[in-house]
Amino acid sequence: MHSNYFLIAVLAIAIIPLIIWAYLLVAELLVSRTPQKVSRNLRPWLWLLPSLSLLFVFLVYPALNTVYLSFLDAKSTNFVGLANYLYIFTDSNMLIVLRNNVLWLVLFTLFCLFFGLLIALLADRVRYESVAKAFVFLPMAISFVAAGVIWKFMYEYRPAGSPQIGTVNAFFTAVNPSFEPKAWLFDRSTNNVALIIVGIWMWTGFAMVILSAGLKGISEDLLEAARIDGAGEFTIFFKIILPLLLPTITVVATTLIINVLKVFDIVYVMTNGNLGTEVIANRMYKEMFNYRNYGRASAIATLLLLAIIPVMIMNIKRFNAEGSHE
Amino acid sequence: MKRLTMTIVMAVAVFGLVYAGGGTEKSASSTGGQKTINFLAVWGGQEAEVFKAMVKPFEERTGIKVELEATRDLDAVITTRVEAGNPPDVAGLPGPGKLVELAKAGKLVDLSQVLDMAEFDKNYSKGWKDLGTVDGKLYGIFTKAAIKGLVWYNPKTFKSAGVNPPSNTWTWNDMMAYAKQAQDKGLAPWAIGVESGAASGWVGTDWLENIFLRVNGPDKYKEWYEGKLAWTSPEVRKAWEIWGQIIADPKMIYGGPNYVNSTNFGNAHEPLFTNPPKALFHHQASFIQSFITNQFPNLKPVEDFDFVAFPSIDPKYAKAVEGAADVIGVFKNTPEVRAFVNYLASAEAQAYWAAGTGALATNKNVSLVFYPDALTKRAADIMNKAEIVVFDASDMMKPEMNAAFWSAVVSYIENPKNLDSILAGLEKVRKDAYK
Repeated sequence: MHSNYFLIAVLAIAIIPLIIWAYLLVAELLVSRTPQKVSRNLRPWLWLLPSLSLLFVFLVYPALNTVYLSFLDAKSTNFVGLANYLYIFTDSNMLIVLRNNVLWLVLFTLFCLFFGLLIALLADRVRYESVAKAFVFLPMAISFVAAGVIWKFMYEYRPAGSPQIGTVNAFFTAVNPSFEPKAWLFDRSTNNVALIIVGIWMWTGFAMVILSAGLKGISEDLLEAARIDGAGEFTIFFKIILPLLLPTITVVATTLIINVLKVFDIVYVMTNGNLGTEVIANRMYKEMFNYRNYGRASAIATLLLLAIIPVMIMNIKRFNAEGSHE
Repeated sequence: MKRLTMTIVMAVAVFGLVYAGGGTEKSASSTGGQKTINFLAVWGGQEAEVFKAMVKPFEERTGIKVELEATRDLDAVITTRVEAGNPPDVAGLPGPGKLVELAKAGKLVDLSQVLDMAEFDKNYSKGWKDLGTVDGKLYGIFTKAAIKGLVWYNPKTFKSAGVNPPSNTWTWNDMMAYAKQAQDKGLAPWAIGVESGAASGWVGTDWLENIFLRVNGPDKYKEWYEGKLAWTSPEVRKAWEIWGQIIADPKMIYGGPNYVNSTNFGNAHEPLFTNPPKALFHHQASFIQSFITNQFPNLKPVEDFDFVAFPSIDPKYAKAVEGAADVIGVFKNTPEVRAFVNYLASAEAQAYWAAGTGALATNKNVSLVFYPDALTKRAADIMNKAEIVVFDASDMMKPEMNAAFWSAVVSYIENPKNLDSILAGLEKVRKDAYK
């Protein structure tokens, strides 16, 4: 049976480009037979049609259907109005979920940007720049699940007095023997931050690479001129580099925000949302696949979509503005 | 223009080839493809190996291949595949709650059309059959059982202290007396660990179920898992408070609450067998034996580790046993699946579980000789002879209730002072899930 699936997959990879290719050939053949006035208006749409139809079938239709389901009950049979949304904003567990997402949003985005920028700036001035950057970027190559497992070992807790097998507690007890080992993931005062640190560890590399590229785009002459005019390094950073880097920072920030709103794997692997660490995506997964409450799951998905839309619009505006400069 | 026509001709030619390829591919699947059975379950590691050994004679006899697909997130995977119209042929379900849900949704095959029922009735007691029955029809076969609520200990710890180990008739008060003695010697009375990935907390639900059963009896127990008893009721509260005598007291548990929450259930027995031992008792189902011998290969059953029944609380309910088992459901009714499921239910297949994992056979015609050692034999004997057998309550609850129960255990261990709000939260989930 599986070998057949494999064959089908290989054939699909071969067939689909062929179909699109054949479609374009035929469409172009037909459109070239029509009068020029018609063909001029028709041609862009014919070329767009394959991607538009894929977009509609796999993105627009499911999104609209999700919004529709969010107004129905658990089994998608009866109309319940805004009950699912009311639940999201009144249930005490859901409020914790929303609070956690805000926490992730603020801490993750700010620290990724901060460390990304710091490392980009510092690495810019040393000879082993590429090596340093490679190390910071390395975690990006690891899957979230693997990172979660790695950090679960790092945060491992053993009672005070027994050998600490988790790196973090081992480090602190070695530096300071009177340090009381902490169960980082199971203590409400540390667990959310402990999870966010994993996220920051993974994504700082991304922020660093883009910001570093932006930094290289700033003309040396400009900085030279400022130095000759007697500006100190801090003045140069705040008055020249930062304003010039702002468009890049915005792009990085929006990408980080979109990603952090969707955070799931780290929490799923490390705490499964226990002890007040649940985030929106985990809640959605549980409502959908464990509790089979399609109404609530869809309402949460819709909320997530609504939260991401403004960021997307900002991003698109940004792209358009950049396009018009040229 | 000429080039264009040429490319179209070429495209058609390629399509023709592909189409021909598709044709031969199709005929291949109708002869060879049907003979593979897709079996979805949570079993990994040793369990998966035993499963493969178990299906091997069947594969050799019939030429049907059985493919085991294992996942730790069974509930979500089954839900998705059933919803997508792509269910496995046969699956080990996450629990009786899921069995009822799937059976009521019409996704499972009525087993009277699959099994040789005369043979099945000869092999399985009424209790297991009733558990697998939904609305008067049999949908689930229970296999690979375990006795829950066993208290494990290291006999050498008792020997070196000159104290007699507990007997099967001990009471909760006896247990507390042992605990006091242990504390005086610098030992933690209990070693507990409830971490279990997405199912963290289930260990605590076993504790609470065993206590509940021994305080309130099997009838209230049934009301509880059927969602008819409020979590804020005095019966439920009492079970939590009795467990609180252990779990809410840092002097009663090895490592304190954070250690309990962060320690995986599969390693939780460790402090009993360190040198010197750091804890006295460990509460876990019969399956933990294979974990103990995996981690400490030199330990011998009875001599180095042993168990007694959970201490009785109300003498009226002293003889009750809580059991758990994996339940198998059938999604597709084909001749191959029928042959396979009949084999799965047979004493021959069930003996593999007994011999390979120390799991207890639900098929009562599996001879005790298959059990690998005296301890497992004893557990199987208790199971076969028990008068009141109840099933794991949390597994019988609706999935969202069960998941909330697991999480509540983790929250309670973290801060037992929040019992009121924890129970109120569970009650809210119950009202929502069982309305």
